[in-house]
Amino acid sequence: MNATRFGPDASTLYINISSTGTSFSLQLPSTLDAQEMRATLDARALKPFTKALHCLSKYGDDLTIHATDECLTLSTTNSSMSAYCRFKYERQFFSKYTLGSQSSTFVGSQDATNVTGQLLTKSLLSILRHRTVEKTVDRCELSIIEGDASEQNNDGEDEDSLESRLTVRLHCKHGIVKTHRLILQTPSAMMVPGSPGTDNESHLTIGPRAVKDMLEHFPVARGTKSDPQLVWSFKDTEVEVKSLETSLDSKGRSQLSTELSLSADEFDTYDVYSCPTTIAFHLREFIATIAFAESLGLALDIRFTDPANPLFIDVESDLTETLFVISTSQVPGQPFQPSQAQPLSNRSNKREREGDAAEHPNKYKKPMKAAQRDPIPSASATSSTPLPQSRHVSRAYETPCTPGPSNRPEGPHRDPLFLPTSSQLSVAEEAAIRSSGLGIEEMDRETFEAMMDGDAEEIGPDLANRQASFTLGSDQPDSFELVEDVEMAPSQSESITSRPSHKGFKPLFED
Amino acid sequence: MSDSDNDHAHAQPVLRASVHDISYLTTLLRGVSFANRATITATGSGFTVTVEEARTLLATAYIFADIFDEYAYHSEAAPSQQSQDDGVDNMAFEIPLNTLIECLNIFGTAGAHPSSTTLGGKRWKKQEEDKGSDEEEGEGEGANNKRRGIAQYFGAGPEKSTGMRLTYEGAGFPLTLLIAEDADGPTTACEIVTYDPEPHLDLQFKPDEMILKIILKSSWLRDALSELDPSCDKLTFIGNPPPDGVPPATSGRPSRNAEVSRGTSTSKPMLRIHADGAFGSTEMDYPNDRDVLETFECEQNVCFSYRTSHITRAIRALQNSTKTSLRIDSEGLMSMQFLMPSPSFKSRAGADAFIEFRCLPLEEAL
Repeated sequence: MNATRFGPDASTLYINISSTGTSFSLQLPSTLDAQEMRATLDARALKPFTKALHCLSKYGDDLTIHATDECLTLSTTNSSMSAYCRFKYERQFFSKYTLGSQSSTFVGSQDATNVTGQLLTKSLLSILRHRTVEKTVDRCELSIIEGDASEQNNDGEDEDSLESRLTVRLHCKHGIVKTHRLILQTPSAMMVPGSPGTDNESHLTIGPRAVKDMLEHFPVARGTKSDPQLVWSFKDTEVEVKSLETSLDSKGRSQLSTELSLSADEFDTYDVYSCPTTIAFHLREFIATIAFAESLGLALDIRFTDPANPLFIDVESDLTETLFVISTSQVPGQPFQPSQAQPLSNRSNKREREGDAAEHPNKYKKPMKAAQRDPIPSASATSSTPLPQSRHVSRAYETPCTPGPSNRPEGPHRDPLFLPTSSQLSVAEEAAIRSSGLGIEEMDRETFEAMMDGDAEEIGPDLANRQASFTLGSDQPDSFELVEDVEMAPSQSESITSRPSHKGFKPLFED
Repeated sequence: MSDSDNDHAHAQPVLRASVHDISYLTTLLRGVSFANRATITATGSGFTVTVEEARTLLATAYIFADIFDEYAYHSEAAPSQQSQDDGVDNMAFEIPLNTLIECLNIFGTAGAHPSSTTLGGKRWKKQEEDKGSDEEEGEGEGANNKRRGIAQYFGAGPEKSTGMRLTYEGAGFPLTLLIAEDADGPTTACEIVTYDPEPHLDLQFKPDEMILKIILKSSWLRDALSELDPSCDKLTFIGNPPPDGVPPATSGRPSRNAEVSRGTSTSKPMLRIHADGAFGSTEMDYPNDRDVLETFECEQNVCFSYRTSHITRAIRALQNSTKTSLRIDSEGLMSMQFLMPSPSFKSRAGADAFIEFRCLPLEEAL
């Protein structure tokens, strides 16, 4: 541990540490090394910054700020963790950007320098969005000073504080200075998006204007709690968009159902892995994304894999990198794609489940969350670098590579995160289990295990794998659910948890 | 009471006033309409409308006789007492202020007078307000309003605007309003119940003990107050004497150099407004610049806190005001006077009406 000293002159010395490539190493905010970040926005940069905050406020209430040497990242996740939004600003975006330690001791290169904090998006936005700001503000200084340091302001006022603070200083015309100090919380959990890079990824590029024109046909009732979903069917030459009929208005009535199709030519890139692909997702966050992209005139880069994996939208400009992740949900009534048909590992249930899949095409899959809570507020939350496999801390959030459906067709469904829990069995599935005549629907765990043991020769390798996955996840609360699933709902295609041992692991959620 | 007294009252109502355009009057009344019960004190030269809140805040609108086309005040007092014509003579009654404003706006025409000030935000706000209130009137009235707006500058006759005549017969009588939407439009008669006046706070500002005096554009203060987080409950005004011997920067275009030196040399801002809220604090610093602070008189460091909710009561008055005079005396009593520009040519020659807010400071150990 580096010795840290706080002298009276400590606050005047900033040390810039060059990027060390170790941005994912853990840096707990409780270390004595109080960090601070100062960034200055000129009037031109303030506008897109405010628009970004506005977009973030549509996604979630809490704004997480993460500053590293190279970039400032703002991110948020909605309360149900079905949408995630991240803005990454290069240091060149700011007219001035310094990040340093208040300690005069040089921080070893092993300790990545970073500053984190969390606050309500609204409290920052209400300052910057005020109508007088656009007209009068010449430049805006943002500074984060982490707590537990005896800190002296430039003004010469002594303000000791144990709390981290975000100071927004607006330099207005006529020399008026408005200083807003906002208390920062320690981010309780870093939200980290999954990494989508899989083989069966579909890739679309479209300008925001085209999407906006199309979305105007799907009005969202303002002020109400309604959050309609749209169903997108990507076909060979066109995209069909329709409102999901289950969305109800405030009076509980079904709204107008609208359907329209968009030519694939509207897309600058139209690369759908397998046509048709049908996904559904909620509009609210998507509209916020479109509004942001349109206000800055930036194209949308849309990526998705299959109906249960989230949708990724990248919006990039010169010094800004923006990522939106929106959970998708399976559309009722949409047949599974052939690529997603489940090969069955448990031979004893195989026949029955094939029939099941055919008879109940609208089997429900729990949508994958767009972001996962990471219990450790770590340095690399926003780094998109895949982690080395050996890292223990990332284990719990790792998911196997989603393989291409051609050679490993069961791929997407082995993701434990969207396994239905036993309580989520559809009526049809329960009926199927009952109709199987195995009597397992009432079976408790011991009985079931005993029964499974009897089949050990048949399912040998799979069982072994299942046990492997059991131990892998056994230290995580989430994984108990997984185990329960395996025990309680053996007939479900999704519950196949075999993990071929040769396959490399890839982090779904990085820490 | 004899019949003759009654006849006298009928013949000579205590207060009778008429105006051809009620919008200015309504604007003044709205500036103090944060509490419902208002005391109207009529004198020969005009009347005041006073409201108070929490025994801390006292707001008074001074409405002078010359904003009216006709203004007549007859004292109820005996003629012998009336001879002491020194302004002490007055007549007070209480009235539900919101009801009065609603009555004046009964045609939805009281909100949008084209003000002589050119504050974009304000104009927009008023139009919106107007839109909200006269939905039922449809297109015709909207066009009418526009015409009135232009006619205003040609000194057009009263037929384009909503006129009003108010009569107050005396204690115990209702306030009678006769409102005509147009010269040939419908008219409405309203009678608003009046009450005996309750004594108000006696907040005397002591000009001799004034320790801070600032005159600034109302828009600066309005912006400052509107930017405050609603969670802030305490607002502190801090005044620091200007640096020795440095006169305020002369008005006009300040040179770039002056701006730079100002930024560095003056360590303490002359005026700082500080607010603490649930999510942090806000400070607004105003420099020594004639463009911002037209007048700044301060001999010693001044620091007094007020309840934010009281100070922000003034936002409505600020919206329609051009200049604000903010004074604090040695006991911390703050007096804010807002100059309310009159739209009409006639009264522009005379004194513009103004609204005054007086507010007691929060007790605190300094």
